[in-house]
Amino acid sequence: MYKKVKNELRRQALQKTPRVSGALASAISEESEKAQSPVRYQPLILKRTAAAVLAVLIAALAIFGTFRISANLPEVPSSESPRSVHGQIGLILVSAAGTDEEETFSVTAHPDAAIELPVKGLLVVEPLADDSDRTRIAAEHSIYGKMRDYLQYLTTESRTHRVSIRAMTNVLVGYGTLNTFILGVPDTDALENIRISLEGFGVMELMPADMSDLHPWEYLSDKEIVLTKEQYVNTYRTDNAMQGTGLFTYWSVCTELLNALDKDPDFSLSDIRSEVTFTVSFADGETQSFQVEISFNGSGEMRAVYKNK
Amino acid sequence: MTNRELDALLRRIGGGDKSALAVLYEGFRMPVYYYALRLTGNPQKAEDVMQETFLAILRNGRNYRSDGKAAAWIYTVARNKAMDMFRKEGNELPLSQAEELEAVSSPFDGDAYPGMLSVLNEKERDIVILRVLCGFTLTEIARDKEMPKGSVFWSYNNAMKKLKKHLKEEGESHV
Repeated sequence: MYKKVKNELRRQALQKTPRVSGALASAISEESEKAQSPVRYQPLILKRTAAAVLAVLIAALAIFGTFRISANLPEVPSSESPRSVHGQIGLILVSAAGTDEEETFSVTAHPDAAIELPVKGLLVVEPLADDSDRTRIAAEHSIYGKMRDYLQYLTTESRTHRVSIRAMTNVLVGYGTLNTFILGVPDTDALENIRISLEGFGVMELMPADMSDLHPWEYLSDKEIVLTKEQYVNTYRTDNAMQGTGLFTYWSVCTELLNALDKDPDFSLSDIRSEVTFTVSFADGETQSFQVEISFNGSGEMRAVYKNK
Repeated sequence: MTNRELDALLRRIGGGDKSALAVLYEGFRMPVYYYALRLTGNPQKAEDVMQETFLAILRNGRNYRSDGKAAAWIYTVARNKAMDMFRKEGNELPLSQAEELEAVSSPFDGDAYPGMLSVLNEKERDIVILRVLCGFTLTEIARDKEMPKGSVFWSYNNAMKKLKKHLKEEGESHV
């Protein structure tokens, strides 16, 4: 509710927020300068906790404009479908953030909808002619350059994206993705379970509400997971004042895809497809299901289409 | 910025990764600034408090304990910085923190706030700032302001209706 009011208020507030100065400016700019220096190769440069590189990259970019995804979205009516007796099950997409840029999609209101989601992502593959440090550093530099250009183009101050580089035998693979899907289920009393399944390349990650230091996100194994009502309510349901309440999920590049890119130098990025299906079942037998189809174009740019199933 | 993201950034800063400060600053400067503005009522002081808050986080990030309340921790730092500032200015603060701040805050500087907030009364404005700009839940606001939850809910909804109407009228006047 009141999304336009909130957005306008935050826009005005951000305009009136002073920029950094004094000692704090020095502290921040020092780190930004460090971040612009080349990064030496390490065998597994970044794992899931690629936040370190993300921070360096973001600091180096120094491009904290605002990318408002809502402006790119089609109009989506928010009325609730009469066929749902358990409230408006929704998918909140948290993407190229700003302060809390997000969009809610009502699955029940759009039985035939196929809506392009404003997720962003770039996959870059750099071949390694040999295994010398020089080659690797050059490849890594190239990836960083492409990522930086892409993110600069977005002029985002995203809260939710990750950047990572994985070293394979024949290639370095870099990817930056902006996508967090929050599945909101208002009527948890009547909930039976939530099933998330995935076909094709990729992996889904789930965020438990009480994240630990060691395992901030959990990978969905075997391409499918069924969460019971108790698991959802007690472990996964995250309440975030800014972004919403629900099951926080994230699509990411999987090892299988990295291996495929490593093995085949002619692997076309446009062959990468992944379909995530969320199915919510209630104790009275009602089921609601919808999908997000993720793909890449030949340039490695990610796209996602939301569909009711 | 979510508590999870704030938590991760604070842990990185605590672990010595100072580059995370730039990310934290960009993502959370606006909420901290408006929180400080509420406390001080003065844009210049709010800016000082905001900057002191982030410097304190940089210096003392190792003291942060990850407990899922990252935003609350940052606001506590900001509140303490505001208190420090008042003390330096010679204000003795014998009361509880909330009362102290109420007692010594500068007069309200209306121009420092987003223009659309001018249609709200002081109580409504404060609730809207805490909810929309700082990300507090209405329950937390009720606790903070020692008001009945129902009153906070009612005031918030009333305020948002006013703002919505104001935006609509403004839009129509530009047609």
